[in-house]
Amino acid sequence: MGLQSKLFRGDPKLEAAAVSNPGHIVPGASGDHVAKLQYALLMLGDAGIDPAEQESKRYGPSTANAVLSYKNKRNIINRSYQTQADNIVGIMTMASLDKEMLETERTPGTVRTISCRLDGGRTPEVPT
Amino acid sequence: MATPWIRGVQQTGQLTVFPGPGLLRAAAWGDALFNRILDEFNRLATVNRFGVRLVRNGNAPDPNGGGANVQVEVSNGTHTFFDTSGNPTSGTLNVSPGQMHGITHGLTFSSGASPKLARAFVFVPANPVLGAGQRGLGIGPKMGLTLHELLHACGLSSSDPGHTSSLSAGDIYMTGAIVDAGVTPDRDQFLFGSRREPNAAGQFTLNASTVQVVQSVWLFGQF
Repeated sequence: MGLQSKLFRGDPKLEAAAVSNPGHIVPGASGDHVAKLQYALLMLGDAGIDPAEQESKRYGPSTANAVLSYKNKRNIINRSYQTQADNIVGIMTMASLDKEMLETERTPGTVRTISCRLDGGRTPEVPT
Repeated sequence: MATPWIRGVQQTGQLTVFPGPGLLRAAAWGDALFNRILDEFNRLATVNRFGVRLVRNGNAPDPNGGGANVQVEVSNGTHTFFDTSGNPTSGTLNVSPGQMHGITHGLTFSSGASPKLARAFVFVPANPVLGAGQRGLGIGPKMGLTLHELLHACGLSSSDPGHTSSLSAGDIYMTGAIVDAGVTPDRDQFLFGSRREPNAAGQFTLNASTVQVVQSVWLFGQF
């Protein structure tokens, strides 16, 4: 079964990362799939991502740090070959991100609208 | 009560802001004024230790993830943005001549105990004028209106202190000001009680109560 969240499903690079080791997404990557990962990390994680990396959709140092922070907090470690989390997005990380994004998407958000009249209904004072 | 941004954004201490194409094209607004508004916001942020700065971003907020945190665009009465599911939706901003009216739509998600902002869409009138058949408003009031809406984009709500009060010396977060038209548009000012804004240098001043609310969600990260 492929990725389920609206954010990730159907993205070829993210779908590949979810099922195969060669598809792992690593620092240095860039593109729309990285922007989706960054958005998910901002929504779900605690670490900020440099706006410049967001604008360029680049998996730079702050994105890598956000990935590491996300994985550390959830103890995402492939015990078959490592003892501590790394900063790449592999099969386990994609599964976790997808599951949490799906839960977030299922929780209805709200649009908070604030409409303001700075003039407060008062008439401008126009010089004569 | 103010609404904080999602923690990943709050941690950066920055909000990325995309100027909509309509804003950049509008004769009453344009690229230079947008940059001036961001500069003034960031000057206020530095002077008052907001804990947040605004950074111009070239990518519109993307309903599929990515793009700027905030979009600023003009409205001619109706406008479109996207909702929390990424679906197109519309809003209205009916502005009669002489009114200084803006609107901010914030997308909030409740991951945990309290809602968090994830996107904001600011709309300002495309062509604000002093009154029916009169000239367009000067830069000062347009900057003040946009700065007010950007404070809402930062998370401040209409129930926070100073928004609807009739302070003797209010700030741009206060509604109930008077537009004091100058002899020329560049001398137009707001009158917030006894205070005139902006000053001759085009700078605004904020009251401590407004600064404290911004700091509560950005500098001190209340969640």
